[in-house]
This record gives sequence, C-alpha cells and structure tokens, in this order.
Amino acid sequence: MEDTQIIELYFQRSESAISETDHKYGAYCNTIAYNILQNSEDSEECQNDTYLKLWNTIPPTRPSNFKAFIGKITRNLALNIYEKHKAQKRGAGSVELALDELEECIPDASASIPSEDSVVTECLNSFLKSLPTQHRNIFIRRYFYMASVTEIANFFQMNESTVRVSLKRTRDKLKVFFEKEEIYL
Amino acid sequence: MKSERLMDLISEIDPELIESADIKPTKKKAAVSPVIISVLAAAACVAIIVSVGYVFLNSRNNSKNKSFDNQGITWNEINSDNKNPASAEPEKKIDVKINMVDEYGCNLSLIVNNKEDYEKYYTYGDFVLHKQTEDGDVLLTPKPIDKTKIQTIVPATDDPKGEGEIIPYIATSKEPVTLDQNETSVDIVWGYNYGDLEKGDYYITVDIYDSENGTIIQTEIPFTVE
Repeated sequence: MEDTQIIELYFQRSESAISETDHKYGAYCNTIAYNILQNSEDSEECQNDTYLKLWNTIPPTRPSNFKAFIGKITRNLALNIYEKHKAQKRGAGSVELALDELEECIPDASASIPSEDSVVTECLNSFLKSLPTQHRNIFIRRYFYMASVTEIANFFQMNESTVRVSLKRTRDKLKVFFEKEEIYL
Repeated sequence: MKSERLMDLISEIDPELIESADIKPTKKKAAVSPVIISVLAAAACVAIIVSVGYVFLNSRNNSKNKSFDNQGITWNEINSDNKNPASAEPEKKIDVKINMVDEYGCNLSLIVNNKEDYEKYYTYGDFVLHKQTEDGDVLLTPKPIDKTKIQTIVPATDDPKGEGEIIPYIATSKEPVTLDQNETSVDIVWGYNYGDLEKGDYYITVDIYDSENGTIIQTEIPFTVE
C-alpha cells in the first residue's frame, strides 16, 4: 500500500492503519529500535509505542515523508527507553559508543552560549548535504539508524576499515564545520 | 553531555536524507533483453570477421615492413600506420599500477586518463596494509609514508568495540594528490617503516574517492612475504 493511503487510513481513524504500517514498516522500526536497545523485547515494546505515537499524531500531522517520520519517532522513543535503562544500569552500550564518537564533533568552547536547536539542525543539514553521497549515508546509518560498523559495511558492501575511516573523516569535518559556523552545543 | 544533545538533534535532520540512507546500493547492472543480446552477438560476429579480414590483408600489405627479432619472440613494428588499434576495453578514468611491493614498502602509480576529471573528482585516497591470517584479516599498524604528497596519518583507534580488531595507521591525503603540468601519473612511495614484515600473505587496499558520484574505486594488491 502507498504511504499516502496508509496516512489516509489514520485520518479516517481506521485501525487497519496500524496493521498496514506494521506490514510495511514493522521490520524497519524494529531494526532501528534494536540497534539502540539491543534487546528483542524492548524493541518490540518500542515498536508498539511507535504505532501508538503515530495514532496520536496523525491527524493533525500529515507527514510528507512517512518512512522518515516513523524512523524519527522510533529512534526518539528507543533513546528514551535507553535513557530509562541507563538510569537503572541496564543497556548494551551501543549508544554510549556512538555518543563517545560524536563527542569528537563538539567544538571546544565551554564559555560560549549554546546555539539554538533549529540553528544546529540547519547547520547539520547543510553539512550533510555538502558531503559525498556515500559518506553522508554512512554517517546517517551510524548516528541516525545507530547501525554498527559491521552492519554498515555489509549494507554498503565495503570494508569495515573503509567505513571507520569514512566516519572518522566525517566527524573531523563536522567539528571543523561547527567551528567555522560558530555553532556551540 | 553535549554529544547527547547532538544525538537528539540528528533526529531532526532532513527526512529526505534519512530515507536516502536506507536505500541499499545495488550494483549497476544493465538490463539487457534477449533481443539486444542477439543483436550484439551478431554484431560481434561481424566485427570478428571484419577484423580477421583486415589483419589478413594488412599482414600481406605490410609484411615487408615488419621484422622479427633474432629470438623470434617479439616483433618490432616499423610501419607506424598500424599503431593505435581500436581497443575494446572501456576507458578507465583512473588506475593503480604496481611498480614494486615487498616486505619493506611499495611503489604505486596512479595513472590518470583524463586529467580534468581527476583534478575535479578524485580528491583523496586511502592506503591500508592488511595481513591475512587463519582468523581472517588483521590490519597492521605501519607508519607511512615517504611521499610528501601523501600527507596525513590517521592515528590508530585501539579496539573500540572490543572485537580484537585494531584500526591501523592509515596513509591518507587530506589535500588533493595533484598532478604537475603535463603529468598523467603520480607515484606514491610508501615505506611501511615497520621493519621487514614477517612471512605471510598480505594485501594493500587502495581506495580512491570519486567525489562526483560519491563512490570509491577500490584496488586490492595481494603479495606474499616468503
């Protein structure tokens, strides 16, 4: 079923909206959740939360890119669950690893006032659009989808070393870009 | 932590970018119908017949101008009109030629067929030395490199995921590897500075990045230290 038709089902408050979403994007949601939570039960819970959130959000929202919209919701919910688990000393450490890596992108400017969210996001978008396609996709798979280096290498049929080098280079470039644009986090 | 904020904000990036990163790349494959295959096969047959005829006639016409060396192994073309035969090979924009590779280092040439394309699109390359073991690949940590044009060394990251894998020092070039005027190739001399390598099977991967298409041209150079 086309995305527009599924969205229409949400607007009609038809419960088949959920089953159609699950049929088309269930595996997609589960992969994102599992990449973050590394636990099947938690991922399933996150997937169900995603459907509930979709049900409550559409309408009034009518997402122009339904797949990315679902991806964002799943990712945010999974990160929230991860935070709860971290407080309870649970968790697989995959997020910690990604956070450590992202620390390399932060400019050194402790005294500066943090930039607004919208400004940082805009800057991120321009940075990502300036990258060669493959480097950009590797970066997004790692830090949006939270895929491991091995999974990314398999996905793009590349060496793991090439993926690591690409990520390292992109992180370095992002730091320089933030510094140049005077973005502080 | 500031990185947590960055992680949250990555959720808000452009949906188009998110979606495009989830599209699995497929190897470019031309969809060729059986009819086209038949036509191409017929064309190839005609081309072969014409070529054989051409060579036959040419050999008769030019036999006076060709001389074999005294070993009868090679021959020298005297008639310059016969140079530059049409090549069926598609032109590669960039190629890696191995001049020498051993346990101490290697000497490679990047051969460029179209200088403008090279300078516009091929901006940097990675050169990594791998050792093959029974357990799979082990990436070594050589300390490159003797060539001024290849400038940067990315330091090792020690086993970040606890998987027993070590990221090597990698010779890279942050600045474009440029060609001088009229040059069509650039030599890369890489001394591993690692002492001599132990006996075993190794290979070097050379990744050249094509910034036009966002793709990587990868060359693998296997060699054995005995």
